[in-house]
This record gives sequence, structure tokens and C-alpha cells, in this order.
Amino acid sequence: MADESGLAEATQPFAFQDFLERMKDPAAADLVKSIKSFIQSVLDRKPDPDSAGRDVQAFLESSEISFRQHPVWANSPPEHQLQGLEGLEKYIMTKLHNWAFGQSAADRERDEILLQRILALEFIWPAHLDIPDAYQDENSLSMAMAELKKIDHFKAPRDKLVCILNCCRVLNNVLQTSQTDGHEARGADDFLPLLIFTVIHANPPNLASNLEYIQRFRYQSRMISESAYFYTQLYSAASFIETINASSLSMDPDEFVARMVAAGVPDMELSAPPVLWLAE
Amino acid sequence: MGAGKSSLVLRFVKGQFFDYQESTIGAAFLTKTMPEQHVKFEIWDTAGQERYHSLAPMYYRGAAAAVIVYDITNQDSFTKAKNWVKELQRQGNPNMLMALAGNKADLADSRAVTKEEASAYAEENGLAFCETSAKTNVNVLEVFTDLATRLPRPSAPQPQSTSGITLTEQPPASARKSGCCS
Repeated sequence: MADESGLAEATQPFAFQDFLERMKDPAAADLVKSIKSFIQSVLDRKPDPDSAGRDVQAFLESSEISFRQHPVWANSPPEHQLQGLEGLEKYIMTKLHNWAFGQSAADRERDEILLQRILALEFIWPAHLDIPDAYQDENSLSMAMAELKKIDHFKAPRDKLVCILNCCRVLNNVLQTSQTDGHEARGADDFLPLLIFTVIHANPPNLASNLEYIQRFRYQSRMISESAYFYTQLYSAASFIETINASSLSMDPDEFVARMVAAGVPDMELSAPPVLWLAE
Repeated sequence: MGAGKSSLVLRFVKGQFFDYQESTIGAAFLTKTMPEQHVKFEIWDTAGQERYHSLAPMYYRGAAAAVIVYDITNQDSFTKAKNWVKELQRQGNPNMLMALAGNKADLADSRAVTKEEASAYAEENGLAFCETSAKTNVNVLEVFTDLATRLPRPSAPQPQSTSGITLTEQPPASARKSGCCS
């Protein structure tokens, strides 16, 4: 099936091996030295993911320029240089992963809240999110969940992002192939509820930490287009779950609160927030 | 039922309209290059249901332009569209271009929002406005062409400047002073 959203391109594998091979070229010795010294300089510090994120971004940016001028890469076509940069990001972040991942107390706290909410929300049916029966293609949804769960298995930001994109691609296919009556073209109104449902039932480990890790360490100039869009979709799905309250779902608010409380989620956090009207 | 924002985008990007029984395709994220204007649009669709409202800023934050779509047969959708305009004026990027599109113009028999009312509202708020029909392909290209011509150019002309468009909510039409669709 034709991939209408450009996801195919964004999830294409690249040749990491090729990057490693090229870096073995004696002419690349200076590059290798600067990369290794950068990695060491980060590892020598106390873990601080935010500042490390800025440093990694700056290093990738300057490497993009130096690759263009370096004998090992200069004569390669731009797409190979691009792949080289992908290789560099993966190399650096594989080395920094244990140092950088899950080191933010704020992210960890959000991981916990999300986990607690997700476990409590196990009772959610598609109808609670107004998802039409036609989208309840169990095989595809399981596949999307499996793709999303893989996010925690990878160390490189791009590899994590590919898990998100693969999950979204499966969901797009569900929207494209299912038959519903009275439905118009399917855009975000149909996509987001399906993604939220998928996240709840997949319960991907360390979701907030993974999202923030991608945000910090995925090279910004590659975080564009469909990658940025579907990342935003997942980010907003996670926010929805994190702040879910009695008015978020198509169900009786009292029943919602009762179920959440029974699952150990404190009552107070779940009532709809008070509305403050500002008049002009 | 929605205002038809996804149908509008599909019509623009692919020249197709998907009606009830026909097969549909995903339209959450689409891109379209307009070579004459040297613009490549990236179109970010935003879930319009009320329960997702608070998530919308994540989508429009970086947008260069927004198309707010309402349904001319549904007064409530026009009210919602105006709320989106207000929100975008307050919280969106100050340079964001906005177009209001009154969709389903082919259903003029069931019209609930007059063209005059929407047009006057758009004029007051500095929005481009026109009534559109994704179904009969009226004014669809015009909405986007108008935005494309008004987008700020990069200083050096580049073959593809990428611009985000965020599609918001329920759909009415857009109009503006110079009028994308007269």
C-alpha cells in the first residue's frame, strides 16, 4: 500500500555499519579523536540531561559542517553525509545512553504518574474514546502496541523515534483500510483517539523519559516533518493520559472516579479542574 | 459531525474528495508543494474534539499559518471557530497567518451561517475568509494559494521553504480584506 504520510522515508534503515567502517579510515583519525573526546567530556560530568542535550545538539551541528569539509566525507553525495550524521548521532547516544537516560527526576516522576494512570485505565474500551467499531482491528492494534513498546529497547534517539513512527503507520493503515459509514476523510480527529487507546493498552515503559530523551538528543534539524508531527501526536497522547479526569471520557464521571480510586489513583487529582472565566 | 477539515485538506493535496461510501485515506499529516509560490506546506491536522482542546498548542506552536474550518450549515461550528481564532490570536505565534474557511458551501440550502456574518467577522479580525466546498472543489486551492502568497519569504529565494499549517477544529470559511475568494 502506498504510504501517504511519508512515514516510509522517515523510518528507512540506514547503514550504521557503513559509518563505523568509514571512521576506521586513517584519514578520519582526527574526527574520531574529537568525537571520543566529546563523549568523554560529557561522561566526566554529573548527569544533567538538559545541558547535555544542548551540548549534543551543538556538537552534531558543528559536525555537520566539518563532515562537509572533511576528506573522508566531502566527496560523498549529500545523502551519504546525512547518513554519516545519523551514524554519528547513534554512536554518541549509544555511548551516552546509560548516563543520560532517565536521569531527570521530573521525567521519572512523570513516568510514575503515567504508569499509575495507564494501569488504572486498563478498563478503557474504544467506546470511551468514541472510537468507531470499524477501527477495532485487533491484529493491527496489537501490532501497533508491540511497535510502541519497543521504544524502550533502543538507545539511539532515532531508533526510538522509528518505533513511534512504525506504530503510527500501523494506525494510519487501520484508518485507511477500515470501512465506516458516514465518515469523512480521516485525519487527527480519528487518529488521536486511536493512538491514546494504543498507548493505554501498550503501556510502553518509561514513556515520559523516552519522549524527553528524544526531544533532547534527536538532532533538531532532523526532527521535522512527519517525524515531528507524529512525535507531537504521541506527546499529546501522553499528556492527555497524564491529566485525564472525569470529563475526559465518554462515560459516567462518577463511575470513572470510582474506577480510578479503586485502582489506587487519588480522588482529588481526577475531578475536572475548576474553570475560571475571565471576562473582558 | 465535523466541519470537513480533513476532506478540505485531502481535496487540496490530492484533488480528491472522499464521500460516505468511498474508501478513505489518512489525512492527519500531509504535505503539498506549490512550485509557483516556492512553498512546501506541511499540514498538521489537530484533533478538534473538545476533550483534546488543551493539547492543541503543541500542534500550532510552530505553525506559520492556520486554517480554521467551520461548517456553514452549523452555527455551533462557527462559534467554535471563533473561539479558536481568539485562542490563536492570544496564544499563537504573533506572525501566524490565519484563514477562516466556511466549508460545505455545496449545502447552501441548509445554510445556518450567512456569508455576510462570517465575512464581517473575518474582516474585523484580519483573517482571510472564503466559503469552500471540499465536495465540489470550490475555493479549496484558493485558500491555500492565498496563504502561500502571503507567507513571509526567506531572504534568499529557496526552492522549498517549509511552512507548517495547522488545521484547527470545526470548520467555517475564511475571508479577508483582499479576499482569497471573491
